Amino acid sequence: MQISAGKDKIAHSWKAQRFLGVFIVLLVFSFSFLIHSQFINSLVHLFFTPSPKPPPFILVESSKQAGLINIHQKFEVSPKLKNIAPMLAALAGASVAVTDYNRDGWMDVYVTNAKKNSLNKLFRNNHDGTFTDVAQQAGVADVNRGGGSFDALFFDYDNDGYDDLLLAAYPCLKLFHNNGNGTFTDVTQKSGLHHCGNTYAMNVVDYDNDGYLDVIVADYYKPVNLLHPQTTKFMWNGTYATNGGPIAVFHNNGNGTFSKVKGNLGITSRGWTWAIGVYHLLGSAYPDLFFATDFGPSQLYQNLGKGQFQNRSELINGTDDFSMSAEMADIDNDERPNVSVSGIYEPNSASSIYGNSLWKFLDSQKAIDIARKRRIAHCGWSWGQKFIDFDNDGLLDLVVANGFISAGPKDYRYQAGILGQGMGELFLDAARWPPENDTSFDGYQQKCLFHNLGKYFEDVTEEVGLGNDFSDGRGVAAIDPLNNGHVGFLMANVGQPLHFYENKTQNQNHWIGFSLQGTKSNRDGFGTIIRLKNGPTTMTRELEPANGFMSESDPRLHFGLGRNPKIKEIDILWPSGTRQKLTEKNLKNFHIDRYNFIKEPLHG
Amino acid sequence: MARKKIIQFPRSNDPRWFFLAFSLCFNLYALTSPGFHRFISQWLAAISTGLTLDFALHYFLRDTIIFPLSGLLTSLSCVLLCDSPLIWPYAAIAGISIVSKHFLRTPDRTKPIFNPSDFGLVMGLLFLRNFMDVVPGRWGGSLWVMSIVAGLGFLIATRVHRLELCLSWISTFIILSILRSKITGISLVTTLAPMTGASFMLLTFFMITDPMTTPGKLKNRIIFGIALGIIDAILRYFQVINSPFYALFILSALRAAFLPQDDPEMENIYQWRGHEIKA
Repeated sequence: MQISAGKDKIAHSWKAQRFLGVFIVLLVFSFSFLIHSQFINSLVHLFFTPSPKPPPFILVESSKQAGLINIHQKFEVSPKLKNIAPMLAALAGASVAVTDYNRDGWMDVYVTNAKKNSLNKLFRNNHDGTFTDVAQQAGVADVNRGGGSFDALFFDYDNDGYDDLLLAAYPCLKLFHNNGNGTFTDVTQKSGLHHCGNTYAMNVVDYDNDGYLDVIVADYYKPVNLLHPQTTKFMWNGTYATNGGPIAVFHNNGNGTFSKVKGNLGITSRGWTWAIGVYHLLGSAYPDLFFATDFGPSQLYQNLGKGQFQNRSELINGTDDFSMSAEMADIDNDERPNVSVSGIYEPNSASSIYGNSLWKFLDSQKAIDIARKRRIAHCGWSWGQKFIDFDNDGLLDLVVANGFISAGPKDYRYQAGILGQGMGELFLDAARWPPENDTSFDGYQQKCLFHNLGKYFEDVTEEVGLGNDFSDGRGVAAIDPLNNGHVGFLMANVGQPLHFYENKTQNQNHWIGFSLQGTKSNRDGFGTIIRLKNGPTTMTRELEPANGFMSESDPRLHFGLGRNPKIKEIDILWPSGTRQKLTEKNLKNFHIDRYNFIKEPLHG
Repeated sequence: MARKKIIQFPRSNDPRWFFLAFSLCFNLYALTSPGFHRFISQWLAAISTGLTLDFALHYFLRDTIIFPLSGLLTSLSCVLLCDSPLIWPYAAIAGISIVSKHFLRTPDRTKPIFNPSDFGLVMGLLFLRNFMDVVPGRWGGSLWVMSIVAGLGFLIATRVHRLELCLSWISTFIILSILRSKITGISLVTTLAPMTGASFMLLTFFMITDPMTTPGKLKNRIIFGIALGIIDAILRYFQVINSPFYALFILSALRAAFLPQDDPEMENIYQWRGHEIKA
């Protein structure tokens, strides 16, 4: 009887809870749906609408008004790779470079196109906020007959005072000498700068401080011609891919030629490099190198100063497996450098939840990732980024471009994610990838603009005027086109129009800028560090305009000074080791709210 | 008067020890392999939460003092499957898993409805998706790691009499992947690719081999594997990411709802009861 009663009890209990499991599932999914739908957000907004704050600065997209018109023409790969042609094209960047190529004191703009036979554009600054395309006259328009251009970098390789143009063209690099009369001449052959490959990353650095800028380039894929591939097995071979492209270091001989450095100074790349950052990170007089790489951790190389680099990647032993760019600055004015590394933050996508990193170098032995603490870790699929002091408050803000492919309503993410869940060998072969057709791939992402509040950053994307930008951003370059201290930026978008965000901020803050000319150091003054004491604050800026991603920024150093500037000291450390320390006595020749020209003293 | 506590310790021939050895090896790989991104702080957070909660809940709910082997296994699974740059999600998922094991039980209170790790992960995916994900493809593209895991996995499945379940699930997955490839035009390599990934392996050899939350009878084991494959395929058709975990979650709930209460397989649940020592 007792057994029977017990059984009945259990049976009753089963009946009562028969639908317990189904009920739990339904409840859980419904609740999850509610949380992630707009419903909850709408409710929150209905009852807790925050009072609108005045935007800290105002940015206005003015490319049409400024005449900066270029619709990026995408790279077109071989029909053998047509199944993933949109992805390969979206990876082959859109770049923008800012330079004063004609030395008139106003910043000009160079924009690349990646389609074979397309024309690049050189926009000359008309000094009134508008630009005119003079690329044809200058001889730097029709440069894509071999394939297309992925990156552009202006630097004065022969120290003649005019910035020359290095182009990551396809399939080989091109170097154009600036003739000083508004035209350029292709000097690739005689310069010895011979490098062919899938070069997406390049930078210049005077690694041995001999007064001439050397060139470092890195290829994304291993050597394969995407226009005429011999094999389709060139995609990454795992989440920790080991089959990326090589790097190459070219030493500037100082006579207009370059020599390829055997052994690459001890730099052993693991490939898949998106960006090469140059900065004095580890405290020595020589600039160090940061390689932002895909499918594996970024790499840090310490410059030992004798033409040798040492791998110090253990300092940045983080989780940035999908690094796109490396932008560097002292973001909190504590005289310690930071490296912002853009990555991927795509929750629930079988991709990456790690997002962007912000490495703070505490000393030569320790670096910590503070991106989440500073609230800048999450910005979708991030690419180019730039630290710019938009409101001249002395704190560098951060703009981040993002979005991979914005196309049709269907998303390729699932297909790619599922394939990516498998063994590396499976997705090594491009021919095996599911056809993309007109699908999007983590596209239509809102850009990110983070306002630096000192202790952390605040997302002000919508307030400042970027809320409607859902383009596929790549290279981001800072520019002050009117020399008025209101620094804006250019954003090159893959397959889409170039965007120019003009800084229309009206506030009481002051600023000071410096245009540098090296004498013993490289003439561009790249690598120069300026420490400026403004009241109790010491701001440190280093001139490395080609850091970031497929871009080069305004090659002048800009300091926001706040409302009541009180400059006490300017300390300039040139790459040659020359130090200029300007105190209140000899600061009379410097003027706030304008750019000041500084020439490196021959005897310092 | 305080009730006497029962002390339980797993037997030396308890197959969970084998699970533990396998899981610890894999955890060691995760902690030392740079591509896996597991840090000792995350490991400690998951393990300490899992062990403490399992011990405490046994103590207070069942008047039992146990060596929380089951909690340890669940926590180790969470470390492997949860993917987050933060520390607390590991503790949260381990905690949710253990709590589900104690509170979401069949009406006769004899066994959990859901596989604890699967429940924790699904809850994390649904409610903590901005902070965590399921490990996507963290083998580093390595064939040998995959082979070792698969080999050991089949050994475990055999040991706990769940080989048929694993095989029926894998077979169904393959058949329906071929079908999906035909229907959708997606290449077979793509539809089959997840089989070589970490998520699939861990689900196959860590979760559905759990005798507490899977059927005991041979026929039911096979049906369970096939049903799991079908639900997974349906979810995949609708492009649900991490579908196997959702599929197991849904199937477990359905099983709890519709399993006959006098199913003899229920009795198999008790085969791993440990030594009981009166305190």
